[in-house]
Order: sequence, then C-alpha cells, then structure tokens
Amino acid sequence: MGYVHLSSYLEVKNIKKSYKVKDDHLKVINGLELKINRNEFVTIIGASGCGKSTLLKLIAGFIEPEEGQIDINNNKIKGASFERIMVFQEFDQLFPWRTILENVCFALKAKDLFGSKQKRIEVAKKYLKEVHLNNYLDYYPHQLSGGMKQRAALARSLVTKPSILLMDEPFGSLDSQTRQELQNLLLEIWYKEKNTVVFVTHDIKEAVILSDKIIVMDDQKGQIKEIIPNNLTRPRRPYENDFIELFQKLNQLI
Amino acid sequence: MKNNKIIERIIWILLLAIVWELVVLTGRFSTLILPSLRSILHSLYLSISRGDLLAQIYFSMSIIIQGIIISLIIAMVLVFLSLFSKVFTSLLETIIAIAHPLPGIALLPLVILWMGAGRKAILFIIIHSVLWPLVLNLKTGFQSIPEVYKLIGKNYELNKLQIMIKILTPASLPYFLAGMKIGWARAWRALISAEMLFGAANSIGGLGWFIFEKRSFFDLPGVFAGIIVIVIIGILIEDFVFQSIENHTIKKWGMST
Repeated sequence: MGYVHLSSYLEVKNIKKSYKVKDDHLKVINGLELKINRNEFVTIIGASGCGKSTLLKLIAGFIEPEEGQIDINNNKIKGASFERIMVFQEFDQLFPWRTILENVCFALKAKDLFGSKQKRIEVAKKYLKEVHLNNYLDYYPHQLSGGMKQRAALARSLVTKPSILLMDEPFGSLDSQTRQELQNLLLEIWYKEKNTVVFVTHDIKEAVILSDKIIVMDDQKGQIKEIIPNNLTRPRRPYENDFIELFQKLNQLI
Repeated sequence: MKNNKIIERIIWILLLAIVWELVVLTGRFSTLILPSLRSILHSLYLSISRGDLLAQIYFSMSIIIQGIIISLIIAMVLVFLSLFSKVFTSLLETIIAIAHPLPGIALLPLVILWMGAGRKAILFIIIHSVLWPLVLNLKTGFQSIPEVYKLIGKNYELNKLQIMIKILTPASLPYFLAGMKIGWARAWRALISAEMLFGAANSIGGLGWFIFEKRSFFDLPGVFAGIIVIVIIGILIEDFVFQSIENHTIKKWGMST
C-alpha cells in the first residue's frame, strides 16, 4: 500500500515453553524473540528437536506459551484462528470421507464465506485449479498421490485467505522431484496471494530456494541462533555460486 | 460378497439339503423329530401366506430397530459428555467395565420384576446389548483419531459440538460400524431369547415366541420354518446391510482397516 510499518507484523515476545521430544526428553524454548514483516516469506531451520515445530504451534495458537506473548499487528493472539492457517506434513490432513472439492469447501463453510454453496464450490474450484487439481475434484484423498494430497491441502489453506500461512515441513515426506514441483507452485501462489509465510523445514536447500529470511534455531539454548536475510534473485537455482555460498554458510550454522 | 462366493454358498446349501432329505428318506428317524424339507417349506409357505409369520417378523424387527436407534442416541450423548469431563469419563469407563461383559439375558429376571414382561422389557434388554459395545467402540474410535484432524478443527474455529459432528464422528466411522455389528449380533440373540421367555404377554410375541409356540404344539416343520427365517434375517443384515453400508462409506473412502 506504500506506507511503512513502524513495527513488525508478527512479533514473538520473550516466549518460554517446555516441550517433549521423541524420547520423552524435556526441552525448553527459552526467551525466544522474533519479528516477521507482513508479506514476508520466512523459513525456520534447525536440527530436529530444536523446537521449530513447537514455535509454529505457538504461533498457530494450538498451544499456549508458559511465558511471553505473540502479537499480530500489536494485538496479542488468543487461541487458533482463521487468520493463521497451518499446513501439516502428514498426508492425512485431508479428511478421507470428503472428496477433494468437499475438503476445500469445508474451509469455506467453516468460515461461513460466500453465503451459498454454489458460490463456495465455484471459489473452491478456482483454487483447486491453481494447484492443478481441477481434474481430480471428485476424487477421495486415498486415490491421490502424496504430492497431490499436499497440493489439495495447500488449496484448502489458501481458500480462506489467511493473512499468515504456517507450514510445518509440508513437503518433508515427498520425493525430491515432487518436492521441487511443490516449492515452485508455492512460490507462484505466494507472488499472487502475498500471504505472510512461516515455513519450518530441516532442508537447507528448501529454505534457500523459498524464503526472504532464514531463521536458524539453536537446539541447546532454545533460542534463535541467527537470522540470515536471503536476497538472492528469484528464481533461485541451486547450482549458482551465491546459492552454494549461502547453503554452506547455513550448513555450518546447524 | 463376490458372485462366485455366493454361488459356492448356494451349492453347499443345496448339497446339505440333499443330505438332509436322504437322511429323512431312510426312515430311521420319526418325521415328528426330523421333518422333511418339503414339510418345512410347506409350513414356511403357509405361515407366510397366512401373514402370521410376517407379523412376527415385523414385531421383532420393529423392537430391535427401535432399540438400536435409542442406543445410538444414548451412546452419542455419553461419548459426547465424556469429551468434556474427565470425571464423567472415569465413571463411564467403570460402568462399561461392569455392564459390557454382562449378558443381557442375565438381566431378564430383574427386568421382569421392574417393568413386567412386555415390549418395554425386551427393549431394555436390546438397549443393554447394543449400548455398551457401541459406546466402547465410539470411545476407542474417538481416541484413535489422528491429532491433525483435531488441530484442523481448532484452526477453523469449530466449537466442540461441530468438531464432534463434522470431524470426530466421520473419522471414527470404522469403529462405529464395528460396534454396530457387535451390537446387532448381541441384540439379535438377546431378542430371540427374551421373546421365548416373555411369550405373548401383551403382544403377538415375535419370532422367538413363534418358534417356541410351534414347539408346544409339536409342530416341528413350523419350528424349522421359524429358524430358517431367523437365519435369513441374520445373513441379510450382516452380509448385505452392513456390507453395503461399508462399501458406500469406509471402503469407498479408503478408511477400512
């Protein structure tokens, strides 16, 4: 809109939260601070168990911090919201008893958008076309491949126009070719929709390809180790020199 | 069932029927004890054409369907309440632990004293038979729902009732159907036994009473005719009704385990 935001859009302020990792070992996020601007594409990387997924769940409002708070536009968030929609890694994030179209309509209906069912179907179809699933509207999720399921999940997340898209390793279970396809698709959509995206991954290459800003988490202190701006020109190609340079820098940090 | 399986079934049934007839033809057993298939089928035909067997089928089926619907409602309410309160869940679990292993028919003497020997008593036994396996399976179903579904429900700002109806219920449908199958089987057995004991106190009695009454008159073809009807209804419900519900839901959705 042409005006300058004096404060950040999403602010994580002095968060403390303990969480369990796989072997029931207790870890803590301790006094974490983070600022994210509107329309920014941010990735969070770090070793597994560093708390990146926990941080994402806190931003989503699925869990509450023990201390500190999270602000959006200077308002403290309370619980989960349509404004912060999460895309998960699990392929079964689609409801198996609903067709692909019905899964997307579910989101619109839940938010009670567009009044009539007719109109909702129309909008859902438009988004499914954007993720190239227009020929699979009446398929059930179990009939689709992993990549197609994640594309449908992306359509469902986008259709309600959330201001923040939270993505918890959404492409983590895909083969590398499909993953690349979905990364390109996500960027394509992001250029158009301009959501603020917070994307958790353990794949450094993915982080470099996607984001404006890369946040490296420290798994010992439960804080942010370093925030690295990523100003490489898009589209980014993994064989270019500055890509490799940034990749290696991040690799050493983790 | 697949077509060739049905054909296999029919062939076996025909073979068994032939063996039956041959045994009868040897004349070693009195036809009073072992009636011929012809007389059984004749009796079946007579009972159906007179309409009394159909009336008994209608009576039995209407009680059992009523019982299943009531159980369904109670089960949903109980499971829904247990979503809200840990205290209630603990109470419910205790009640299930006591009531689930208790055969409905064991409650008959009590039920007769409490509610008399009428339709209400049979209904009570059926509800007891269906309710607990249904509650148990629904609870297990709700507990085994992927965490992601609940998070999505939260994310789209659904309240607990909406989450229960839109997400938890369809997601636990495989468990629900398994519970219904167990409930049906138990109710069907309990119904026939209860009808035999209660007789036609305030009503026409039902299928159980039908075969029991035939026995009193030593009408063995009539008894066998009743048994055949009971078997056919059992097969129809278990192999066709439940099967087709599964085919149109959990099989179609890839949710069957």
